[in-house]
Amino acid sequence: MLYAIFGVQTFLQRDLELRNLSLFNRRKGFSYLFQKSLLFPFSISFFLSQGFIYLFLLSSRKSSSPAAIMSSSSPKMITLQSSDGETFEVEEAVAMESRTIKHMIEDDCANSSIPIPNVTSNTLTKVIEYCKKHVEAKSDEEGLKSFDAEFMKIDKDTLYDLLMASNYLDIKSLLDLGCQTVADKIKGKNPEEIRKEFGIKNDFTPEEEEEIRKESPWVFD
Amino acid sequence: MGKYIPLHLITEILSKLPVKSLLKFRCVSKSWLSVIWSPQFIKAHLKDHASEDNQRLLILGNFGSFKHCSLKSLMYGEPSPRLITLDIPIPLADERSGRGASSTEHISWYGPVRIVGCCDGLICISVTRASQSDFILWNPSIRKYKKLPNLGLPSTASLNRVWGFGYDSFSDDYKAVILVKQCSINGEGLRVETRVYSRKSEAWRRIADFPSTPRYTSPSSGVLVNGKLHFLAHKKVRGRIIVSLDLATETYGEMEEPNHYESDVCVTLSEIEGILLYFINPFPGPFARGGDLWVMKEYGGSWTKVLTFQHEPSGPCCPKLLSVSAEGELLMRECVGIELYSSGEGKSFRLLKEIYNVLDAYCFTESLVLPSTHDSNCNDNMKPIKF
Repeated sequence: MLYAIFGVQTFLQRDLELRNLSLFNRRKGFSYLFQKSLLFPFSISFFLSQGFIYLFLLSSRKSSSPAAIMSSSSPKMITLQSSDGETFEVEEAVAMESRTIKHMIEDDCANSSIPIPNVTSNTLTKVIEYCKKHVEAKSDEEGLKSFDAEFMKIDKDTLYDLLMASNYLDIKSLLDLGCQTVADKIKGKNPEEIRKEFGIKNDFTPEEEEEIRKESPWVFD
Repeated sequence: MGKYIPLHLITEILSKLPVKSLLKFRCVSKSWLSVIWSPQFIKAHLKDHASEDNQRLLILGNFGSFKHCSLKSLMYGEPSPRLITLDIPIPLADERSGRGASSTEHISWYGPVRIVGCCDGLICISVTRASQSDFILWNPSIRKYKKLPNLGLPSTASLNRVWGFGYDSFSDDYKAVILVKQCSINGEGLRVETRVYSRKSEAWRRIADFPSTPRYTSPSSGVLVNGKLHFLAHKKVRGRIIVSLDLATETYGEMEEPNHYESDVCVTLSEIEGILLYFINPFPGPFARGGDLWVMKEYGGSWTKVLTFQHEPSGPCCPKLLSVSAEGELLMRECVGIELYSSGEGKSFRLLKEIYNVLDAYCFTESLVLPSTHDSNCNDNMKPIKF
């Protein structure tokens, strides 16, 4: 969720831009600047006005959030079928987190149930759990961060299955999360451990490998 | 047991790894080696590491001492995060006489070292010896460097340290720009030439001259925003102007200053997260006014003043704005150290107390970008990192 902190100068004589003084509003790596009057340092009214603006923005953000759609009818449900035959009913908004499924729905191929041949029911359950949370709590950045951290506390097999599933289903955020988790797990390993981890055959001769190691000996300490 | 993960997924995982791990994993297999050194991967890796978390602060001190630390821990955590020292690559004197360039020894004497610019993990530095400047393109993360060919300037030319380094997305090339002042012998007057080095061509070229009317401020390093290098200059009569050099078209343009300030302030340009900033600091003194910070939110649009503050520089030179924290604190480089100004408290704090002389500072990220597109042209500098 993006939040902006404004400093409102209640005793302004000059006309500086008031709305949208928040600079660099980004999801990650954000930085903000707030305005300070040269003539009047911190005062209580500053705090109050700051708090008021913050609350105002918070409420306006919530009401305009696309996740809270006011629809009188119940949300459309989509049926997904895993590779081992189990079916899952999910809301359309949740299913659309997967671009693969989104295209299928848009191309009108999703009449009865959508088969997901590459993904088992265990993995699909986890994927749906992830997408559900990310649709429901879309604006809660902190909450999503802690959810993601907990969600990734899984064993290696499940993690790799999730990676392949999110790649097939084209769910970028889950793919990035999975890849980052794997990256953090392997970054300290040495090449032999990496080969074991991914089942990779070493196709270098010992001389070739030594050549490469000699190029950057400091990383092997 | 290893599950089979296809190579394109492996590539996604690899692009999130730090440079040190990637250098290690080059010897896993031939396909991994070719992935890691491929230009597309290097770009993807750069993109994945562009966030604030991965930024480092590079500090240049006296005698060519380069140190860096994590920018995030500096601004949000400890006032003295761990500093890593870099070994500067200085080519041997022999190289200048043309006798081979692959030795890894370093000579022990050299003159002033300055940073021309910093971009995508590549640092362009200038080393001056016996009034001759050598330029070096250096990636300290992979410890490779390339000495640029000599500029070949006549004796009437002089360098005033007005230069820059940046990435030209149009031709996918890294370019170093040096302004050369030419005094004409037969009294034609002064001319400021522009020399450009491109990583692809590995040669210097002369391009359009610097516009004659504004007088550039020296020394200064061009600030790269939107593919253009920006320099501060003074108009003929009074007032300041920003001169921009488009790296793609290699032509000059001009931009107005946000507001007219008299000459009792020092002005610097900065770039943070792709936005151009105009940073004004008062000179210390009894009549010192406050400082201002302007930003150009949309490139080419108008300036917006976002901060007014009371901060006086603690040294004789202009502070340079390096970064802004989430709470609106300003991280600045003063010549006596790195300071964090908090507008909430109305004063600044010295960070990294062991550093008391800062010639220059830049934010940089570790990357795999090579100093030369032909790997064989890069020299390695291999001394271990000192802690």
